[in-house]
Amino acid sequence: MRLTERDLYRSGLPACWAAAYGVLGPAPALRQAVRHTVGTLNRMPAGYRWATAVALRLFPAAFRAVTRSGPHTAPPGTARRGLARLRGLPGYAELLRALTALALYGALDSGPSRTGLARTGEAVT
Amino acid sequence: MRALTRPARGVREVDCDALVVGSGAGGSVAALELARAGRSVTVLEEGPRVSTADLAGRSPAESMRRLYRNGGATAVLGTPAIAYGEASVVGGTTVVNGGLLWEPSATVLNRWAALSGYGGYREPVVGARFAEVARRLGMIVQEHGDGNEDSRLLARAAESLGWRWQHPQRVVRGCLHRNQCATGCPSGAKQSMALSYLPQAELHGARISPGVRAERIVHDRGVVRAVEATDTEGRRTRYRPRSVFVAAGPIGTPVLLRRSGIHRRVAGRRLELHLNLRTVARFPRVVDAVRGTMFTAQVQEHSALGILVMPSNLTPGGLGAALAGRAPHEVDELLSARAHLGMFTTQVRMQGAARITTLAGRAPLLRHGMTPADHHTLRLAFRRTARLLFAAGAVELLPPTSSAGPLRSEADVAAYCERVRSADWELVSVHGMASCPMALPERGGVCDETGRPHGFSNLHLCDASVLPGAPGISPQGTIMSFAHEIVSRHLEAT
Repeated sequence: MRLTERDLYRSGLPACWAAAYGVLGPAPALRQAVRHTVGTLNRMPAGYRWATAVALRLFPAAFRAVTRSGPHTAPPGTARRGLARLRGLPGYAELLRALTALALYGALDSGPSRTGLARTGEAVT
Repeated sequence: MRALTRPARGVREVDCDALVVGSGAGGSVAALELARAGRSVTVLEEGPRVSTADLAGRSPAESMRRLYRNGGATAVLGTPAIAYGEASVVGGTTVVNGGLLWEPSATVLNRWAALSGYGGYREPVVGARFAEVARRLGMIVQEHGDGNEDSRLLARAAESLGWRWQHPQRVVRGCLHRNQCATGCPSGAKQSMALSYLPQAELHGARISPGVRAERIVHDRGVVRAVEATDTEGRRTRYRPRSVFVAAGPIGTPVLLRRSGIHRRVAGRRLELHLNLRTVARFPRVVDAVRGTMFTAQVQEHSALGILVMPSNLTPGGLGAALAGRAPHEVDELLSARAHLGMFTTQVRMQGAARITTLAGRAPLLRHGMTPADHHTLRLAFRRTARLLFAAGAVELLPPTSSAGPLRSEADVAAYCERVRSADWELVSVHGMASCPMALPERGGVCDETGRPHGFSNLHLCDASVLPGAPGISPQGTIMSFAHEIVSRHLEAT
């Protein structure tokens, strides 16, 4: 089973990221965040992917349970409050931290490598 | 013992003198030394092969996904979960490490000899091997570059406290301080195995096969008859080597042995780790820690306790990832203050080991058993780090616990250390070792002094898994020294 970017968008988590984090607000940054998150999850063993997919499916309901509004349309304050409450739930805390770490890494380190000075390696003797 | 089976139809068969499984610090040594001795060598590497130009042309995030096993997101379960990183690429973790090369101390080697029951890997033997590795790779003492302000601050702070520090020893040739060690050197300065030992092995005739995963070792009465492997397209090959050197890493090697029915109950029962605490420090002045190579100063005052302190390889994404457990407004504020921030690593040798609990399909399940003594050492290590960082001029520290606020004084640090529970630590490890230790069988050993799993004649292990314990330093130098000695003993005997 492979996760798709659509699966992640459908969970509403990227919408929450965009609303809550200034650095994930711009569309290009969010795209890179989603791309990196999904790309990394798809390199993980099937069991982890499956567990993450289930948690993402449950995310809208969990978010609604703690904020009484949906993650896709939550304003920034609600998104932050919802994420804060979910970070306090056992299980979701670690999942959210891991996924948010991937998202922030993807958004901030997806620029081109800062050198064009490639050179060949030198041989050992 | 697994019976010798006939190959299925459609399976390619390949004969070779020596088959090397894995191409990191250990496997590359085997590949080069065996090829130099005139053996026909085939190297199997599960990951891809990447060139320096390839690394220079990709973003750090792309390289992270491509070069690391599980995209860099392997978890060691337990309280707390530990993020574990190792590479899966031709050249292994030497492609994504800092290129550090330290010699294991005589104290560590003597302790290992006493623990393992084998005395052949003490300082005179390992020291001579290390000197050879250092010479071949052109080891240098890495002084500060144009940037590295975080390292300069740390070094000055250590001096003000009278603490011991050192510039790191690295295997680089003309480091351009691109600060991308952890996602592959884009300038080709770092002498990873992909740029050093492996091309030399190829010049001597070795054949490197990237994207090929060893699935199973077929053996009979202590003799390996074949190794079955699969490539990325699912094509199967059955190698029939005269000797096999397994260097698939501290997790991959025991997993392959267990999958093959070799020392199933002992291999991977213990995996030793170095733990990294990451502390973010805010300075009143601009530090611009993204400028400069990974780090150029390491504080070794507490190395006898297994504690080392050094700056981290700071990138915007790495900082964001480290802050991910904090509230969004806090993350935004800290990212906008990045020029004033440094991120520091405190490496601690873990006493309670991890282990491979089971194989769920192809994936090993890792679990650790951090002890109260580890928790105590982590608190001690954080207290010492905080003292150092305040001496360096830091005005605020963010400890490796997302639920903890900023610490602005030693009193805050003391209160945090009083409160913190073992479940609160956010830990990373990039050094796993000793999962198939070289030791007598009655002492939990998997292999003997020639790297052969007990009871086997033509199978050798030669990577981090054979180390009898955790050296407390970046292990590449130790792994390569042990691998050279193992291969040398094999060549002398055959």
